Amino acid sequence: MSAAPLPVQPGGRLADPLWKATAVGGGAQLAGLAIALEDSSHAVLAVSVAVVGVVIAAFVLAPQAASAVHRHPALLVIAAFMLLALLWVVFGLTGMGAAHASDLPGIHAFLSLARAGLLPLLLMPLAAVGGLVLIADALRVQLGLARRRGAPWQQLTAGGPARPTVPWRAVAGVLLIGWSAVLAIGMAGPYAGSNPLGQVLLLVLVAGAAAVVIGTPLLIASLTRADREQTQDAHDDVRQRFAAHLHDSVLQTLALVQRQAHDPAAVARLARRQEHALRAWMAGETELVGDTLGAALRDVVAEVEDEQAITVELTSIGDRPIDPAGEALVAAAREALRNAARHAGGAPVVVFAELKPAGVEVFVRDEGAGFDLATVPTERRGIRDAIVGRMAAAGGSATVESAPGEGTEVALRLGPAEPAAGAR
Amino acid sequence: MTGAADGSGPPRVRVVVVDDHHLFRAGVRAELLDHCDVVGEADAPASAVAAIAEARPDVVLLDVHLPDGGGLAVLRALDAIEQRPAVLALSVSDAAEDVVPMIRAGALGYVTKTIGTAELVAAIKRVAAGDAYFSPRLAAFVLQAFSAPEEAAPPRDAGDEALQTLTPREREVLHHLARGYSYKRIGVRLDISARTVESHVGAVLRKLQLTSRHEVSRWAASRGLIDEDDSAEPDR
Repeated sequence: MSAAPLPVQPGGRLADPLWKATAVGGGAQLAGLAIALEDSSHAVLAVSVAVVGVVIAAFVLAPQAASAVHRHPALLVIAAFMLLALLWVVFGLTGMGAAHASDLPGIHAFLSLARAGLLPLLLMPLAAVGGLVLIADALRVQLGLARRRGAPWQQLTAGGPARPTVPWRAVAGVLLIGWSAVLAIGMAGPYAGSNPLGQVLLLVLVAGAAAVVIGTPLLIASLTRADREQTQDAHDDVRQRFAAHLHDSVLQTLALVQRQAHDPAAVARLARRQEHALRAWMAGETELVGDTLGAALRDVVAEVEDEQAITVELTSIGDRPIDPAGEALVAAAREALRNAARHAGGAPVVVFAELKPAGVEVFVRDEGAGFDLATVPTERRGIRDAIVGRMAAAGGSATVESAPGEGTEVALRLGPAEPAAGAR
Repeated sequence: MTGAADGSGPPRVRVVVVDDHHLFRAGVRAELLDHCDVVGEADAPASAVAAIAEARPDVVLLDVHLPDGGGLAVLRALDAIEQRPAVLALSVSDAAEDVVPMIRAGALGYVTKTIGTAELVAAIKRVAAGDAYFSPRLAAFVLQAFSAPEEAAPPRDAGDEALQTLTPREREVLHHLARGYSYKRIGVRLDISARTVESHVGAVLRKLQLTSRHEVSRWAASRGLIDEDDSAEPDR
């Protein structure tokens, strides 16, 4: 029975100043105890010396203890338990000594009360709670819940569950709970011991309490485990989707690139298309493949890029479900893109799509030679009519703007979006 | 050191390229050979700041994803430099969470690495002149970011309002940029000078840099970007 915070004492080397301070504190406490034992009339002095010792030890060790407890939460329980055990012993002994001290009736009364009922009463729940904490901590570690959460990617690629180790925490926790049960029986025994019914009742109560105390964390743990397995399944799903997607897209493209290495234009086109696809996928835009106007537009852009060997810069804002009018718009956009590709002269075609629930505007613009709208050849007028007519039939509108040297822009509109460019 | 060969044209723009991919730097250097002087290269924020301090370029081509803090670290370090060079951010990513912080930290423009040579040179020249360069995609991003308050406008004080919203003209200019129009064409279409178009874009850039994080972060949240960001960032 030395200094109370022994369990959290670091290293224990004689040269360590912290250890020295702890020793001084412990010595002071022992001295206080000795004084009280030797001559009970010096109770005040004894208590003062002991308090000084406790203060010294606590002052030095508090930060140490805090950090140790931070690392191993179970230490807190052990420390508190040891402290109480020490107090119990000290109170018990001084109580014996104080039995002779008739000049300090107040202290005497307090000490005997403490010895008789208070401390066991305190110790019992503390031991039980301590046992619970230890068991819970052990389960937490066992189940891998104590592991630090990594980045999502790390979680995704992390290995299986942690390997099981000796559950000494759980063992200690069970022992503590058992001891608290013994204490409880010891306290209640004298009252219940007289009749057999009381004894049976007590046994049933203790057994029930033990079942609850041990069963609750186990239940929680099993629920947590199920939870974790679900999460694991979800992670596996994500991983599989990742792999499937990479296989279908990136690996496929890389294979094609290797086969067509002799054709720089084809390689560039493949890379371009894959880049678009990967970007859209990473931005989560392709989760609703085919169901939205934005996805349909992306498909059309990719199609025309491949078909016409051009580069299209597509930017879209918002999205909305596709409907027959939307399908008409996509078809018109395909025509506009083909038209732009033929006249862009290699310069990129820019597509800007504003897809709002209230209305849709899609602009297809090339920086090509442009033309005078009044003098277009009939065959090009046909294309124009195809675009304009298609949009009109779908309840929308299409306009073509061009001038020699200015490039061409086809604007496709659906819904109540106003014709003026974004000046809202 | 400034391109003395062509006495007729304007002085060549001096550029420092910051990118951790050696091949990419070499590629950019080759691409810019005929148009600009690459006067320095760096592959990390610390060496970038040193190279910029030494070479005193007109423009820094700054990759977003660098080791040790990324392009943002360079932008912050440049705050301390006198005669801060114009920064054109470039990245393979055109994700909003990459684009917006760079602009807000002081980059004058943002282009993706797939940009063609002619456009890259045009962008470099524009930021060298102190003007903002908005690619069509960046213009669309900004339009979207600033269109959020229209739909559900929370009450806010009037002083802030000017920063949080775009004027109709700025909106028009951005809209045309998103559609791929050049400044000159926009000027013709809107019946204003190209210089006025530039000043509108500059005003938008400043708004993007000065406005409270509110709109931009809400916009990012609406795109599902906030959660990813939060879980990726903390190194506790």
